[in-house]
Amino acid sequence: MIGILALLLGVLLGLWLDPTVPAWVQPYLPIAVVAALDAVFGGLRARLDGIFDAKVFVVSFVSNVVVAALIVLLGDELGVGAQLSTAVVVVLGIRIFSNAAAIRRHLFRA
Amino acid sequence: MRDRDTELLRRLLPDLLDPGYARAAARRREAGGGDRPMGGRTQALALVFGALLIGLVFGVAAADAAARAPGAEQARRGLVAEVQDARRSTDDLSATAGELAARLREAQRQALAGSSQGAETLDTVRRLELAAAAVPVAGPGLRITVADAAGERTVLDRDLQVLVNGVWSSGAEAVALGGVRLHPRATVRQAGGAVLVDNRPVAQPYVLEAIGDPAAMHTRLVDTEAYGRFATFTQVYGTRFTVEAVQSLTLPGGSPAEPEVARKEGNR
Amino acid sequence: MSTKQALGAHRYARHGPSVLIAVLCLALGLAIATQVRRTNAGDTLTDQRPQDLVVLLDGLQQREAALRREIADAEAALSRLRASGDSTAAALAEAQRRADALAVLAGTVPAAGPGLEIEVVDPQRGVAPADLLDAVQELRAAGAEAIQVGPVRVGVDSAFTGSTGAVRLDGSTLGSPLTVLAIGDPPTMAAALNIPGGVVDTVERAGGTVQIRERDRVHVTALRTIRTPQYARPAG
Repeated sequence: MIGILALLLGVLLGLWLDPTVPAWVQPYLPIAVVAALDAVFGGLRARLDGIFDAKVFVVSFVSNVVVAALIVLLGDELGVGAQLSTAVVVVLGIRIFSNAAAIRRHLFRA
Repeated sequence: MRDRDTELLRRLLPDLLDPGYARAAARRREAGGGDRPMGGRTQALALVFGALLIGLVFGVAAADAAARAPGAEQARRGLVAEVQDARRSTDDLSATAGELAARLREAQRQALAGSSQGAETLDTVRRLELAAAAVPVAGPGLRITVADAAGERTVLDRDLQVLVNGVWSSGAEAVALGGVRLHPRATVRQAGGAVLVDNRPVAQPYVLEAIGDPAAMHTRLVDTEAYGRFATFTQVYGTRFTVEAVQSLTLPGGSPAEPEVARKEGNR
Repeated sequence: MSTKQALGAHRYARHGPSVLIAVLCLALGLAIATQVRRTNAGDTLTDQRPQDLVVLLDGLQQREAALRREIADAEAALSRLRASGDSTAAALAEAQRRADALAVLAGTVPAAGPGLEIEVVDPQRGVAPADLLDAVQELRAAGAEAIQVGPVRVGVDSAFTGSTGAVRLDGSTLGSPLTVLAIGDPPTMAAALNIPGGVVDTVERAGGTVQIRERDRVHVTALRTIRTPQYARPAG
């Protein structure tokens, strides 16, 4: 419950502050969003499985974003930035769907 | 075969949950506690921090995406909204104008009921309204349907103007395009893939209705430049161009705006 | 549970899923059809380019302005009728006013007002009927209230016939030089004729000249006779 409230607060804060995103951060925003979604779904699933741990939650989100950004950055240097970006989004997307499916199984069985 | 496929799929899309959760749970079980983590305060703080951070990411990305909608797209969306507003507004105004016109007619009729001069003047007004295409009319005539072939953009306002010109020269007594009556001040203007007839949007297929002697009009129409032009369009671009005689057409009255600067001159 | 109830429940459980599947398939089919139709319609505003939307908006705004004027005129006329003590005289005046306005539109009376005096010279006989038709259309779009081309008063059923270099309007031959008179807002009408690719351009490309003079007072004296329609009857 407190988590959801904090999430909403964060969203509203982000919308309200509306910081000008510098150009170099721009390409990594979509990755950050997908990693964030992945962390949220993963956290929900863990909660329903009964093994939720907030520290893991934070660490998984931050590390996902950092690793994904590094991969894309490396890709940019190698000239395959767009493709790697797609790959990261695809993999994270698969994870999101997988967790969503597990959540659905929990909700509709219970 | 089927077993190997499902095996492959199962390996490609494993049941992915961040292994961190499982390991943390395993550690806790080893340490003797339950599955749920202890240390409530640290947990709560971490949760709030994490959720806030994620929320911030969502919010900033959303705000950024909205701000970065390319200027052109924003302008276009603004235009679409304006057009929709203008459409609603003209529809309302049109209804109001119609009501007022009816009330005025009735008031005039009543006021002039006793006077013979009044009756004469009213009669003149009715005849002139008919001549100025301001009242609905019905009668036999032709229905001409024009439509571009799929993927083409051939028929322009100029072509429709030439067609209307051809129809008038063939002896039409009243003409409507796309259900809009043509009156002395009506125009046909291009607006993308559609036209504005008397400033009203008309989409394809364009239907031109003309009241007159169907057979005579058709015969004369075939000789016009317009007919030749559209026949060529059909051959070259596959444009649809059909002319059919219709027993009974009903055309609405037009709304010609009264002159503002032109005044009747001289004694008549 | 009786045997009948048990059988009933069993039948529901057996057919339930297939019914649900059928409904979902139906919904999916409908959604696909609707989407395909929407994609093909092309009439939706969202498909229009900005410049087309601007033209649409302009047309709608012009119509809006015309409607507002119409409403204002009608309200004024109604209040005049009600306010006047001798309502017959007021009604008569109003009816006469309306008759005069319609007569100017129909071309049955001479008219005067500010406007343009246009002289078209076509020495190489290159001007086509469609060019003069375009001129009339442009003038109308620019708000012309009465137009005279040569000796002919332009009306709703006016038609240009003939051929390039020998244009006829409503049966009358138009010579060169040709004088076109138009009553309306002079600058607006002049601008409409001068647009790139417009009337002036076309005539000049055909080897002719167009001279436009703005006048405070143009006299349109040619008249049209109203023919009684043979086939069109007033309806509704």
